[in-house]
Amino acid sequence: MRVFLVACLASVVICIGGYFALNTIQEPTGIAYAREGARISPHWAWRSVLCASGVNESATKTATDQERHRRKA
Amino acid sequence: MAKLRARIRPVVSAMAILVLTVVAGPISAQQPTSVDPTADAVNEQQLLQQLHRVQGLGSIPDTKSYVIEQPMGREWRRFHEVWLHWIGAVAVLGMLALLTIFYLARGMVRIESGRSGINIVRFSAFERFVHWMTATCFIILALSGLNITFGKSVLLPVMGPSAFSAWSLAAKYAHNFLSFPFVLGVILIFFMWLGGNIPNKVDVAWFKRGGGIIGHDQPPAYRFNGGQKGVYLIVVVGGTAVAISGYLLMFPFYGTTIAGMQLAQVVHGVVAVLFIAAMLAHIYIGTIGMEGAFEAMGKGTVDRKWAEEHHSLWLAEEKARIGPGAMQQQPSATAAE
Repeated sequence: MRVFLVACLASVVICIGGYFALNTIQEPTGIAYAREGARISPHWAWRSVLCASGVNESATKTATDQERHRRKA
Repeated sequence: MAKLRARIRPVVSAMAILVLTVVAGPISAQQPTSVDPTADAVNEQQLLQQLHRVQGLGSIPDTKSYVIEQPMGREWRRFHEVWLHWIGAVAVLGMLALLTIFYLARGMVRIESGRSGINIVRFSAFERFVHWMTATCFIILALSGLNITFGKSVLLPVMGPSAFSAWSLAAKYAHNFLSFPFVLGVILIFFMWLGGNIPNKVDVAWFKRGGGIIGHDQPPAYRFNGGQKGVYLIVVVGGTAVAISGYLLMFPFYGTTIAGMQLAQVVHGVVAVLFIAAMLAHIYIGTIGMEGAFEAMGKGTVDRKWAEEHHSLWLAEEKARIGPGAMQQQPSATAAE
């Protein structure tokens, strides 16, 4: 039982490790497959939620600005 | 005569104009609905026949998206929407049906001479760790993979779009990222058990005598019998095939084209469902199919009588290696962990 639980834990650790390793070397599809002019917001991607990147911050800022503008209107 | 002709001419001209107006009027009225000026331009089938693919120009960086239609795409769609469903259903449900019939006919393979109460170490903690890591990942990969093929037709009507969408998203993430520990497990299994899985004459005799499963014969076997060597081969070859084809799909266009990825998906789908069917048989024989078999991977030890009946040559090797006295004193708790 102990060996089984350790095996499950190891699977989860490798799984999460793989997730973060790939995030560092890959671009989100929302950025990789769209030009700047056509890009609405890369904020939809899960990885951008989990990783606080510059792109994510700018997207959040844009969304906040839009919300503020809407309230003023 | 000339006067008469001059008088008739305006009348004839007027009649001609009248006739033309009457005849041409309905034609012009029908034009917008009966004639499609772009009919030839958008005849996809004609374009496909002449050019073998429909493609254009775009403004996004991904130039592959400019290909809208290609013949192999239709064949691939036919495969994964129709043929893969049939292959998967026959393989998985067929195996489940066979195992059910076999269990009802044969029942559990018992330790015929009864338990001795003496435990022998069968698998080390590291071997069991590798086995369970690979097995747990395989089960999740199998369920999430079956969801990709059958989820839309089986689960979607039951769960509804929102729940099915959330489940499928989570399952796809699990499918992608649990592939890493699974592949690591397959690599470790390959090297760890390679020595014991080289086929030999004993395996041929083992198969000829039904492997101790069909009938009540107990053919001799070394550490791994012919059936276990078959499972090893399926895990190594099948695991390698699904890993390579899966990573070609997971990292699109890294050295592949659309056609290459379609081929990878065909290989991945077919090998995966056959792999699942084979592992169902492995799970069956390791649990309800044979008394004492689960203990080998559960605790790491087996009863000496079980070893005598199913792996007599291995037992003789173990006796020669550690001595029969040492074997009897082997405490099961130490062996298990």
